[in-house]
Amino acid sequence: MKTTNQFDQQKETILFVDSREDHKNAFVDLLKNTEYQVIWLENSFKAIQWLKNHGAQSVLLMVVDGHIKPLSSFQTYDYIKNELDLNVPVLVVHEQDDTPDYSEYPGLDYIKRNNNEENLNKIKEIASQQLEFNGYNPKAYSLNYLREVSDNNEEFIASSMALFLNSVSDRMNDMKKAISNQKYKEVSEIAHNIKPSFAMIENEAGRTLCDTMAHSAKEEEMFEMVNKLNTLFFELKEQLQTDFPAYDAL
Amino acid sequence: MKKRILVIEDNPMVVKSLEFKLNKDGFDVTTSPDGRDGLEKIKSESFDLILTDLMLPFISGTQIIEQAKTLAPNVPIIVLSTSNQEAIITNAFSMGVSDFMTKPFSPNELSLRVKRTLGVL
Repeated sequence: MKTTNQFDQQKETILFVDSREDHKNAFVDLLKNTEYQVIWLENSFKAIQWLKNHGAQSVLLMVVDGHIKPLSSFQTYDYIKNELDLNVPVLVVHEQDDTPDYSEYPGLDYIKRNNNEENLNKIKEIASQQLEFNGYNPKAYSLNYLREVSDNNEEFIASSMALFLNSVSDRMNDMKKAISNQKYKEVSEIAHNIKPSFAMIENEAGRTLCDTMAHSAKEEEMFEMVNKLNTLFFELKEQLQTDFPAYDAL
Repeated sequence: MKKRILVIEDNPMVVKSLEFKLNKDGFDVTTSPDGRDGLEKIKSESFDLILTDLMLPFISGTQIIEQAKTLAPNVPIIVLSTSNQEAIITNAFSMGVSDFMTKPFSPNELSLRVKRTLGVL
């Protein structure tokens, strides 16, 4: 196990968010026989800043003190999930006599301080699941979100995929016209509009490109980004038409 | 009687998902694809809750909130935002919105927040 605040993005990482150095030392000791890289952050604000700066690709888990400040563990989890749009499991460390209820928050769980062996097993289990989640996905899309929204309603899923292709196809045409006329603000607005569509089929590359075009791309970068998004959409369309041959609407 | 919810949103996939989930939760859902249509509906119909995007064609979400607070001051508003809109969301809260959600929404979170805002939890 490597403990450092010098981040190595090739290493599997666990963020440890706690103001107390003795807690950090105990945590480091718990993981001493593992290969994880532990990054120690003294408060929740620093944790959010760290994720903003480094992203979450190599982060398998964030372990947060139950009394963390200035944002509580719930607020930190909520911000990372909903505002940063990052999928990082959060494990909150509670004292022995706390009985928290996290049943309404998938992705949020807890351990009790000093339950060493049990804690280590839980950390390894969550880290392993996250490693699989972060791994290469040979498909450019996933139906998981649409399944979750509709409780596996096949008709809803098929019509949503058709809607994805039709609506994004129209907006891609608008985007190509806008970029050819150097209307960068319009390109940015269209990217903002279609970003949730890519997010809903869990196409991370499309979502990220749209997010960059909507919020931070320079004008001189826009043309190449539109081309990239167009290619990505074309490939996605081909894959969907192969995967859903029964649906004429696709 | 079913509670009536107006959804003002210009992404058709988001609208479809919201409509599906909210109908399933037992609400009566009306949708508007842009700010102008949304505002007309606020003027001509009555709703128990408004869900609105912030970046909309013709009339922005911020203008919708402003108008809705005059036309229907007791109707709660939940803002649908995307990430990277912290400043706009803060402004929306200062205008009196009840809550906000990031797109794409978590279905369980949508149910909870809508029911909590409508006081039907």
